[in-house]
Amino acid sequence: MRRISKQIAAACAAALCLLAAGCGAKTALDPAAARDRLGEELSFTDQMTDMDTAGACRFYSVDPSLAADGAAYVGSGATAESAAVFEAVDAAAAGEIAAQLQAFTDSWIAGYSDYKPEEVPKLESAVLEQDGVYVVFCVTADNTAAKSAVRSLLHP
Amino acid sequence: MKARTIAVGLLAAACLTGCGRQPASAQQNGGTDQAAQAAQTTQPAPQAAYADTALVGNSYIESFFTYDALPGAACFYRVGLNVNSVFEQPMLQGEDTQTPVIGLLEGRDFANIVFFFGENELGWSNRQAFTEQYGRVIDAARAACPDAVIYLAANPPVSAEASAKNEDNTNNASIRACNAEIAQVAQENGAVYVDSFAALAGTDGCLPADAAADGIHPAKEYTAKWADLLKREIAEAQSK
Repeated sequence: MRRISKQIAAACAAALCLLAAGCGAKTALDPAAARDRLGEELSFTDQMTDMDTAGACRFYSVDPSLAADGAAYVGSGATAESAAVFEAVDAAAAGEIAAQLQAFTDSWIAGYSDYKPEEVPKLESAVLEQDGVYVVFCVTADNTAAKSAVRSLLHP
Repeated sequence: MKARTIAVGLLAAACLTGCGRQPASAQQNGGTDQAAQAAQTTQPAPQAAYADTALVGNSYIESFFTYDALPGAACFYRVGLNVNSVFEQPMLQGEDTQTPVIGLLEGRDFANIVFFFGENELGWSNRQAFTEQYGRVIDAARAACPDAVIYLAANPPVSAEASAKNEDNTNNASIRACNAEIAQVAQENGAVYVDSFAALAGTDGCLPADAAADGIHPAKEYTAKWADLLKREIAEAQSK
């Protein structure tokens, strides 16, 4: 009886070990490193420039109080291309950032429809993904490939 | 007893491993907060040197905004904006996306206002309409900011390839002609003409091929050259 109790206790402990390890296994991203990785992997036709958290919030009209960290890769104005990675202060803030990025996209579609209509398909197929506190946004020359790259970034 | 001890030990080890991941920024920030605090107490914040300056107009301003080429300057612009639509269309992003762009000057005490127009009007056959309306834009700016120095930026050249493509009459010959009109508008309205074309053109009179991804909108290096020109013009005008 004592041996069976010990075996049960050991099995429970093993199960708890697996559960505890699984609860902590969330992707942790460094926005600047993730931005650099996307910059290497994605297809851009514009001359791109790195931006820090403040620059990224300013460029996309994102409320800076929502972002704990962020980094962006933006074009020169010759195209609508850009990419950004935000780490929000919490998941609710991440949802707000995603909404603001969608608003940014919608306004650029409106502006580019008359100005440079060839850029509109890139905006209409923009990649916008949220996972927990992280939000990743891309407008590139190949958004199909961008979608795969972002999924790989958020779910390695 | 021994099995229980081992199980508890394994459980404790697993908890420490599973709960130890934090967002990368939290791990990094713990080490940099002290350094950041030290920097804040010893170094003053950088000045927004051109907080008294507004850039108003078309998509050329986007690179000034992106690169903060005139630090602190207000950038009131919209892609495709012209001397008519500046009275009708708002910005696409920013704090105010409702007020027509020219209206963003109201209630602001700018010392310098730099206008960027002409590129989207190259295809206008009625050139008098362009020059007269540009005069109205200047009048509206003076009504909002009576003491501001007004600058009219010439259009920069486009690349040889873009010039040959000649979309919407965008070629260097028509740009030169438009710039001559802008210079005349400046003279007639007491504004400063800023010769952006000369500052950015290569020896062949074109924008260098590597200066702009589309041959039209200067990227970082040539936006910086353009900004340097504006800084010199502003310094000279303000010294008088």
